[in-house]
Amino acid sequence: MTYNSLLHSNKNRVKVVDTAITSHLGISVSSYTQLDSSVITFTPTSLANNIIYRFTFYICPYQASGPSGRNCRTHFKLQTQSGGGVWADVSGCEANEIFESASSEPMCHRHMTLRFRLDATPGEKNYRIVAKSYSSSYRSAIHWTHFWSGSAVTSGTTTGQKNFNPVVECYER
Amino acid sequence: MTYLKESSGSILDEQITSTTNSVAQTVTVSRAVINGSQTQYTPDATATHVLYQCSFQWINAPDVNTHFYVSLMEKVNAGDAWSYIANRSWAISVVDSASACSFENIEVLLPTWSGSKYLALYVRSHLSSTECKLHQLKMDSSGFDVGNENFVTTFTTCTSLRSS
Repeated sequence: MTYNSLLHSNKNRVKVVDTAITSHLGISVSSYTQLDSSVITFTPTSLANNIIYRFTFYICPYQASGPSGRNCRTHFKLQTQSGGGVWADVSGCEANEIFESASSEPMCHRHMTLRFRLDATPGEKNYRIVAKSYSSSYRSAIHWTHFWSGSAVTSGTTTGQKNFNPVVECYER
Repeated sequence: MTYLKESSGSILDEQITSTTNSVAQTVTVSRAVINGSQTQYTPDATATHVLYQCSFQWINAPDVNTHFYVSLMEKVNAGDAWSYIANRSWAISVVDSASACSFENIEVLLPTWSGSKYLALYVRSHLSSTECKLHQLKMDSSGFDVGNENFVTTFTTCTSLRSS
């Protein structure tokens, strides 16, 4: 039991909703790239033992100009940064979202939450998710639907599609 | 539909269980507890609900298709047999696929209880041909499906909540 009557987790909690989404974001296939909506700065109190990081977003196959993409192989990693220094991976805090269709239809359309725990250390830190898709044939995109309300399969930036505003959150325990 | 109005002080307590994995756990047709999903929790005395959360990775291996059942279980004493919590079972299934892997963040809201209780997630594969593995990635910084990919920590929490 870790009850701490002096610190309710909603008293030191930071949450950012990215409301500036206007198109899909293709996950890089060449290198691990920051997902801008996942970046958050957090400073724990001296009572904190753990920091919990959450990033909720929508993911689907990357379709640049039509319904060609259908497979996704994506690797996500949580990284931290102190004092403007080098971003570092956090062991055990990574994830895969992989869907490959055996037929010709696009797969892997879902809302997902990456939720990780870190040891609390003193001082302000930045947190982010970096991601990489396996190749152009197995590329993911986030934030933007490719199907909506019976409309035809479209590209990721077509008018009439819907977006999900991603949410990043940090709190301490 | 049960929902809680968020207000100051509605989160009373949160217990954290973080389990580092160094081996993959195969989900077979025999029921088993997800490594790291087990927790013993005593809710805050003024709570109205407890939110159980468990985050873990699964990959389609050794089979191409994945179909397994997940159930939230409970018991009072460590030596007791696990019991199903009513209406808290579901399936994770991706078939007719060439490959499928995902990161799950399970969230189950329960009425509070008095005293201590153990909670855990049971998993069981639908068929011997739809088995999967937990906790190990299929793709990491070093490659894809080589067999030496990194392991993902299982992260379980129980949170005492009070509705206003």
